[in-house]
Amino acid sequence: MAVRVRFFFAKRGRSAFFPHVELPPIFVRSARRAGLEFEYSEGCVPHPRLSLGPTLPLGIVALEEPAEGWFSSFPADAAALWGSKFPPGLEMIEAFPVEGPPLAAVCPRAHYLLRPRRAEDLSSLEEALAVSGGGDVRWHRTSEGLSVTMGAERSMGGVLRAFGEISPGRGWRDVFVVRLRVGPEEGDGVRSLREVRR
Amino acid sequence: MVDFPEERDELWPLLASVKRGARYVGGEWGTLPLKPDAPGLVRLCLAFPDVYEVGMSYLGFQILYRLVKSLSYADVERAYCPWPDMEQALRSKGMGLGSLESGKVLGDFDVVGFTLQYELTYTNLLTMLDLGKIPLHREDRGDKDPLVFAGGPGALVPEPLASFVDVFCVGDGEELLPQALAILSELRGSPRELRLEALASLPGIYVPAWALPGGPRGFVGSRGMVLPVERRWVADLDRTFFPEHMMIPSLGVVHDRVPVEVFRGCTRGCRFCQAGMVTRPVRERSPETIGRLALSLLEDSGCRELGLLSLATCDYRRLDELLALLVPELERRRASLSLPSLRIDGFSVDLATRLEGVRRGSLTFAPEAGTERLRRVINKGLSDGEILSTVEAAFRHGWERIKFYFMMGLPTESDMDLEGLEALVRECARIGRATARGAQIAVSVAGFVPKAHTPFQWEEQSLPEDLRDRGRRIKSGLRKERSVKVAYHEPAQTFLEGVFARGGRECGAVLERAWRGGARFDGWDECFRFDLWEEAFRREEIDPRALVSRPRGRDEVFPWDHIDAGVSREFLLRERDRAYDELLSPDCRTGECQGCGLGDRCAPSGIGGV
Repeated sequence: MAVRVRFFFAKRGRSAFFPHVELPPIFVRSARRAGLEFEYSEGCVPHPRLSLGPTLPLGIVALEEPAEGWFSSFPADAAALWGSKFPPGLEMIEAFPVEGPPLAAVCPRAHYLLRPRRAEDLSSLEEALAVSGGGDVRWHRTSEGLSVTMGAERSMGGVLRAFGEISPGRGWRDVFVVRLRVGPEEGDGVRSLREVRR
Repeated sequence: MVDFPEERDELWPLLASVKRGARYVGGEWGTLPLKPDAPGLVRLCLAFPDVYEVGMSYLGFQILYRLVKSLSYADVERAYCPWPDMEQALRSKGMGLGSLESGKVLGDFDVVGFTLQYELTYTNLLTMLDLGKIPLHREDRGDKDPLVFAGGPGALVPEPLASFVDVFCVGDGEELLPQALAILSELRGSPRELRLEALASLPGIYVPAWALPGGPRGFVGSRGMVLPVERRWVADLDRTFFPEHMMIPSLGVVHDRVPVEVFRGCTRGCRFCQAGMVTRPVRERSPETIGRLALSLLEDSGCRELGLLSLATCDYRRLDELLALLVPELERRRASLSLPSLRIDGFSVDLATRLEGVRRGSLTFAPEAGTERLRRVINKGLSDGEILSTVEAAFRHGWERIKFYFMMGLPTESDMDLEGLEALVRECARIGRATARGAQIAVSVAGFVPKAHTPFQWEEQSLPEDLRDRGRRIKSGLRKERSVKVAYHEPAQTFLEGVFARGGRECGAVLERAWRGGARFDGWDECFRFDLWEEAFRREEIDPRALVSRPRGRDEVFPWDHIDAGVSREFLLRERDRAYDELLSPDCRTGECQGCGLGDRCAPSGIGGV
């Protein structure tokens, strides 16, 4: 019986520019380096069983991204060993066996921190959030920057395109974006999936 | 306020604004930490004059990276050519091109070492020098500037780059580079001239500054440099450094597998093939060594595809022994094996089928020419029957697609050869229809480029309009074959490749002018602009058509005659005569010695000439 393991990783430094679709082979190879083998899917061309959380656009630093993998066994010390085999920039936060609804069903919302590189862009950025988000995007100013929650599958690209239309010439390079977490909604923010073990 | 170091990364806004920012990130598994500064420590930056994805698939840098890391007196980093959008972004911010590892600008290294794999990357070399804040011309460099090295096949025809490169390394880098770096370690801090002089005394090193025009080979050496420069090669691959750990990129690259080189060199003697001439003698690794390296690499990398590399892996004499050793281990790991260079015969098809398991995508073969006559001219020596029975075997075994590589514009080629090519492909398509459902044939046709150090170095090259006519003709001749797709290489790129493949020092000025005009990534269709090159030739008053299409006299002195690749001019001329007589020469691995010029330096491991 395969063990379904939910793991959380951070994407730091320039590794934020690794495309989301390139992550599965990275996780699979690093697991093999740690002596862990993914279970394989059925069919003519079996693939390692792995599912990622909501798409993380390029250039966004992420602190707590979820993903799930299926293994024949997953010893207690496996997470640390696996994480030690990640390439630079990717960090293992935690991994544990899980049951219940699939990953996509438990992370409907994403929580971001937006910091414009120029303070004068803050208002335009808020305007962009208002224009592009409809009722789905919520934000407020904090001492850290703009705290933004939105549907996890909604693209941050749309917000930044609107930002570029409001402030011509501005774009991705002018806003530093961190995805703090994805998960279920909780008050003004998003609850960490690490607290949802079943 | 939470501190995110990423916010202070000055490259970050650039990465966010260019296409495929990931190619500038590095972040591979398997890199090693930088060594601290120490007296005598030589800092080398390996520079690949193409994008990261292409460069990371190049085995040579994987070898040299780990080799230099193993030396106590040197450290190594890497740099790749930025795509034009990143080049522009760096220039607009006044930033230099730095290494992936430390970001140190190329101009701050002791040595910047390029590999010259393909003539159409030469403008990228200039981009990297200029963006790396290294004076473009070697005579403008001072003691604090790096020494610019270049190796790879391009170093065997060095003159087009002689104005920009300080030191050419001719031959196998595993042998030459540690010795060169040891000299530089001893002389660290010494004047540039002294370092160059010391390097020039090392066999296999060519310092263009010390080569003076004159003499029977076009150049004579000075200041201790002896010409011709003899190519260096490692004698025994089993005793030659090969890494047991490799850098595994986090970005999908061109060849996503761990490679092990099975042997170096080729004895088939195809007369157009530069690699086959300039990597002699054949040197094989033992199955035990290959097995050990392969398993170590698979374990360490986490990859599940192993590539057994060489110019013709099916020619490896102990292939059965190697497969008996490897296949059970690979099966246990669910790993696959790829043999990128297959012979056209039933054995190869059987082998590929055995290795591929249930997935049977495409098989690639290179008949090179369409008729038996022309294949005799180029010493390929395959009959139509052999090709057809191989195709039938492949489709019968369940392969869905066959890809053929052909050349056009080969010496003595006539309309009948093109008709023969079309007829051969048509017959293959017919076999496909009769044998397998949905069988596909892809035909790729490249213009023939006569290469230096080959029997065809005297030949004229077809002009672009001629190649275009031939390409169109083949395409239209096969248009009615619905299962066949034909593509031919852009003839203007082939033409430019031909200019530099046999170019002299005068080509350097054209190169620089084209680069200053905006020529970049000339091997990439989306970047190539022939108009920039036409203008550069015009301004430099050089007729490139005469350069490529002029037949050379038997006694003509070539601009690469001062580089001794190992094969003798007499052998090359003899082979050329045999080509015109449509005579095949045997493979010296199995037939008699052809006297290529290596003499008793051939086959230290007892392979060739026996």
